[in-house]
Amino acid sequence: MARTQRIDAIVVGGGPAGSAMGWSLAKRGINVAIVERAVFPREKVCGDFVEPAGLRIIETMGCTQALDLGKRLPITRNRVYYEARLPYHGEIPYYDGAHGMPPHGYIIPRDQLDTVLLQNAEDAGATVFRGTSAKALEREGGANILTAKQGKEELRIEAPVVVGADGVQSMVAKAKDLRRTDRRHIGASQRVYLDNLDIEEGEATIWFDEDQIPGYGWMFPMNGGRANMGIGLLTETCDRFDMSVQQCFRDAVERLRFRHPGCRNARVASKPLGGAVHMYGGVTRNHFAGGILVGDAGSFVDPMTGEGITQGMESSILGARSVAAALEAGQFGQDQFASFEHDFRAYFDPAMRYLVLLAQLLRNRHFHESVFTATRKGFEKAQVESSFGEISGTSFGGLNVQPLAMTGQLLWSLADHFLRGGAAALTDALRGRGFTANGAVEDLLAWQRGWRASTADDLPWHMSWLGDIAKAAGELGPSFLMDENPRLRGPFAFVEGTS
Amino acid sequence: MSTKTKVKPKKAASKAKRPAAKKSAPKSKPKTAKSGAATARNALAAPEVAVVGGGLAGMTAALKLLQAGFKVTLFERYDRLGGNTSSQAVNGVEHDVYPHMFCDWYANFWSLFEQDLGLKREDHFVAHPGSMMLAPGSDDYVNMLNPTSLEAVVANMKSGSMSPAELVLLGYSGVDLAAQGFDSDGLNQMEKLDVNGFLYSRGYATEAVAEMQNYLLTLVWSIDSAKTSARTYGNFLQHSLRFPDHSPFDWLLKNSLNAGLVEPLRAKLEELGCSIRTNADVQSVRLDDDQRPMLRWQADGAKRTSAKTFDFGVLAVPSAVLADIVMCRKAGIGGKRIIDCEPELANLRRLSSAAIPVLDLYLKEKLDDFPIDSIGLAGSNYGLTALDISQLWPAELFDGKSALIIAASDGDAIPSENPHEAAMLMLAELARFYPQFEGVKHWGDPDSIIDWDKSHMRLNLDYKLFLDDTGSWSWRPRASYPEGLPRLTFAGDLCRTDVEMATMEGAVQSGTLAAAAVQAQDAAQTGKARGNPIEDVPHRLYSPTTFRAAKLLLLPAAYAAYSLVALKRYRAAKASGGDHAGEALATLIEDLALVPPKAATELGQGAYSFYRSLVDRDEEDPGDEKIGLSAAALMVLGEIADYAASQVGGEKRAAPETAAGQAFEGVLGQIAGIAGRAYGTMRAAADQSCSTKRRWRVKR
Ligand SMILES: Cc1cc2nc3c(=O)[nH]c(=O)nc-3n(C[C@H](O)[C@H](O)[C@H](O)COP(=O)(O)OP(=O)(O)OC[C@H]3O[C@@H](n4cnc5c(N)ncnc54)[C@H](O)[C@@H]3O)c2cc1C
Ligand SMILES: Cc1cc2nc3c(=O)[nH]c(=O)nc-3n(C[C@H](O)[C@H](O)[C@H](O)COP(=O)(O)OP(=O)(O)OC[C@H]3O[C@@H](n4cnc5c(N)ncnc54)[C@H](O)[C@@H]3O)c2cc1C
Repeated sequence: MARTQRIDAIVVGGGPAGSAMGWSLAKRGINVAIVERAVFPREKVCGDFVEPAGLRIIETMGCTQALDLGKRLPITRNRVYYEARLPYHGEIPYYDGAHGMPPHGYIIPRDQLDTVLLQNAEDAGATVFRGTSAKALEREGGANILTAKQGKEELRIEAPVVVGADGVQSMVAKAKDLRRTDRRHIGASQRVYLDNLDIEEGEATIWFDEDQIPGYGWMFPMNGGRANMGIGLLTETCDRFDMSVQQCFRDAVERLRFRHPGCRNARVASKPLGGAVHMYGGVTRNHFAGGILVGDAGSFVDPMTGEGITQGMESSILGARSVAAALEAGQFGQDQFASFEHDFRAYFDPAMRYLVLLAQLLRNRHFHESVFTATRKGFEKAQVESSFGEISGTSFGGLNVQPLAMTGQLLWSLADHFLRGGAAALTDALRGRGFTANGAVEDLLAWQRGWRASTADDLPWHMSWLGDIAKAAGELGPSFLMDENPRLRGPFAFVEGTS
Repeated sequence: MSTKTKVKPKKAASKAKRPAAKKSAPKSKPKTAKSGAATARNALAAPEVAVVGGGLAGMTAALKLLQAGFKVTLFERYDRLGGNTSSQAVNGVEHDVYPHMFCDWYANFWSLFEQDLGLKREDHFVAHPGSMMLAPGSDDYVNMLNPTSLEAVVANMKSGSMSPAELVLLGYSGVDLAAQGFDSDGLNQMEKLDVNGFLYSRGYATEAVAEMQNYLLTLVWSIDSAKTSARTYGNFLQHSLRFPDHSPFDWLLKNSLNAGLVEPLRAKLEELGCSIRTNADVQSVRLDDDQRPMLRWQADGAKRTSAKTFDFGVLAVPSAVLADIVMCRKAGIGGKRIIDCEPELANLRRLSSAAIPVLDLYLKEKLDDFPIDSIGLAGSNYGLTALDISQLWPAELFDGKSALIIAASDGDAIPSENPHEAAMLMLAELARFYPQFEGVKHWGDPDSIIDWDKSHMRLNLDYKLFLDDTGSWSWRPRASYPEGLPRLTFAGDLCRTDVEMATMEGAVQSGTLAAAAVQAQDAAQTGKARGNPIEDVPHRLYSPTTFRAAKLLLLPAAYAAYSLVALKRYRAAKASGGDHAGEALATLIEDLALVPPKAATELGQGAYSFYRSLVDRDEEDPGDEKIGLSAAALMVLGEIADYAASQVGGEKRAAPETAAGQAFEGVLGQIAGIAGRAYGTMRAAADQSCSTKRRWRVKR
């Protein structure tokens, strides 16, 4: 019979979300244990890009030194390809260092990042079971009993609270019947490390290809002519259009070689690995009797960019408050943990709901022409008008997502575009010059081709897609009502400000 | 409660789920069919089901039950299966009861055809956007497209069959009816309302709108709008008003019903081991002590009736036969009467049906320019429609000549019950529209373009169409009555399904529901579910909320159109001169004065019911899948943008040209002209201000 240990809280999973949770709880003096299947350093399929908001959390947790951030090259520049075109190349203008965020991101390979973060949690007082795989979770007499395997040995840990931070394949979510399966909100991606590159180290590259919509590809530089490169696509689209992520990935590597002058001799330096991302659009209940789900297990990934390191840590910092409150109250029913739902909704919904709507719009591959043009124009606008970039959210890399202002700007430029174009077409028609194609009319016709293709291809899907858009738009309330995106000041300020 | 079949071992019952997997040698009853060997082991365990009636409903029920592993015997009175969708071969020529129209929204039918039979729709059917109308003495066909796209709406407005204003009212009355939330069990007295009664209660209705609704109903369902249940018609409209999904109104089979539909179904049934007894007239169904159906039937040529008790029964016969079977007036046979177990079924005697005489005219020549669509002969006696099957069915059947199917939707108006006499009366009526048929003296007259050897007249007295008359909903049978009749279920277009109008879709859905009910009863009795769950396919239609929103949006247009119609009526009266001008003016003033209060009342009511349906969503019919208001609104917006894009992009989509159409275009053209001039002025002004600016800059 396995030995049983009794503690306050178990965190399953020692990725960024699990470590941030362990650290936050330990800092509050809670007896917490992190159960992590792997022995670190371990590889995690990721783009390794940590945005400024994430760096701010890392700084607060005191890991800047250990990660040697000072020696890494900050990502301050950007190259954006649309097919073979390079509509933007230069500084990322809207990383301005406000609210304690550095004016840049970093590429931190996950074997290093996760190792440091987990160690940091341990140093703060959390117990860490490395190489220990959680196998079963049961609830007995108001307590969680976690059975885990450490090598051959079986481990039983008992605690009133359990936190699922065990990633997309979360066993905790599965045990609570909360595993996300809605493929409208699940991305699939593949990434690899490249070497033999001749690229600027502070410059990220991303690209969009019309045949890989909805999705995009990235190449994030590391030291020594190496880079993390990969692509991400929506699983629903892959299913419907019989697209293979592997094939798209191979194409992307090929294209990168001729698209980017520094990648001509690029060499694949690791095994390409695939991974899934559970995006915020699919978020459902993240609490249950006896605990909560955070990070990828709770679908906190940005639906436009697929970033989840920062979001995972943020969800943990918010969640730690609910866990502490439950321990304090000695109440562990589902209702008790509903405060987590309240918190994460208040924190993420304003910006995320908006991004979810954008992601919904992009879901229809039939509109690839329009989507392609629209995102390119958005990108161009964001790169040259930093005011737009800032408020346009992670959709174009900004931070202070301001849907209201952004919608205003977008609608304004759309209206301007189509009114001008429409007026020009009308004048031509009235002056008897007949129909002349101009940009706006071309865009309208491209949209029309998408509409017709979509209605002809699968009308029930089309209608359900429209329903999803309407639903996403209907949930925009918090986005439009906020004065400032709570994510701008970060999770610590949020917890402090609302306690 | 224990029964004879209860002795069957439980294990065998559970294995019956996958009939084809078993290979053990047959132990008994290997008679049924070839593939029966595979199911032999389960044959012992599988309950026996009698399906009475080999129409679409009965065949569907049989098919679904066979797929689930039941043993099925199908009884059909005639030598061929199909019932109302059957064909009769006369002198080697197939004559359908009527070449049916298969609507695009027949989800259950298409699932049966495509999934169960594995056939491709496009291979066997041709899509039709709608039907046409022809007026006597004219050779200008008028299109009646199904309003599932903006082009169709605009084309309908231009088609000239009614004035645009009246078409707006006709369309609005349809949306209005579809937006009504009638109670689901049909018991509400005030809601036992016919279509005319409904129109009479509406402030915007005009005589022309009522006429048109009546015409459409008679044409398609052979029933007067004065008798058609408003709720049932409203339900039909909900299913067919699918703007803007561009769906064709219907599909026509490229062959006779027998060759294209019934034979493939029959082959499938045989493949699954169905025992099919045609020429077997079921005379009575009574129930034994365990409520099992005891069938008694007369096989063709047999001296005495046969009898057998089955585990379950599905009754899929027309209403008159069903009423007889349920009442079972015959004395001297054992068992309980069905009516004694379920008294509610006495109401079956109230249901009615009508025969639609159909004349198949094969010709000695080809009629040039005859449309491919079905044509309503507007204003004809007997409500005639015409369809040229030689452009539809395999060409080798016609030798390059035409063959017209003439149906008399208003058959009861024909003053004869002698087939050839009736045929001549229909021909005389047809000649008013097609002079080629003038002067045919008698059936077989050699001095005509008719090939009499191949032509055929059927009065269809044994193939009646179920009538959805007012109040009939509450009398129509349900699929099952588990309390009183645990071993008997009901199928047929007369049963209650969410397709209320008598259609093939209703028949197929009811057959599926009856089979599902048998499966459920079997599971309840044995504690084991047999086979994969039998499920019907939900229809996708707009939610009541959506219809109510559409109604509210259209309301101003409707009352504007109503005012226009009143104005036109006044002008017509004035133009005709005479001493009625004063009276006409009084009527006009009266009509117009009433518009604001009527519109306000309707707006208030409409807004309230819209609000109600937003608040209590559970009111929505669980049978159908509803398209929400917002998705619908986005769809409509998208369609409008699509239409606008076509206009901007210079794309011209074909629309029928008629005089009314041109007039309508004239109005639109004028509006465009005014807008154009206004725009031109503005543009010129803008140009000027631009140039001043430029000059100012240069100076600087
Ligand atoms: C290809 C790809 C590229 C990405 N690129 C980026 C990017 O550039 N920037 C960004 O911010 N995000 C990126 N993401 C998203 C990011 O990787 C995740 O959102 C992030 O890792 C979530 O962290 P987490 O702690 O919730 O889960 P994870 O990092 O998945 O950590 C879960 C941990 O739980 C452990 N575990 C799982 N099951 C058990 C068990 N039963 N018992 C014990 N331990 C268990 C695992 O070993 C793992 O260490 C990318 C994702 C993919 C797939
Ligand atoms: C002229 C006409 C045109 C139509 N046009 C259309 C159309 O265009 N589109 C559309 O959707 N629908 C149309 N319909 C309706 C459609 O045909 C029916 O709704 C559908 O076929 C009904 O199928 P059913 O199986 O319920 O009934 P039926 O087809 O009536 O089947 C009942 C079967 O039971 C058999 N039977 C009766 N008594 C006994 C007995 N005692 N023993 C054994 N067997 C018995 C009958 O012979 C028959 O085969 C039309 C109907 C008619 C008559």
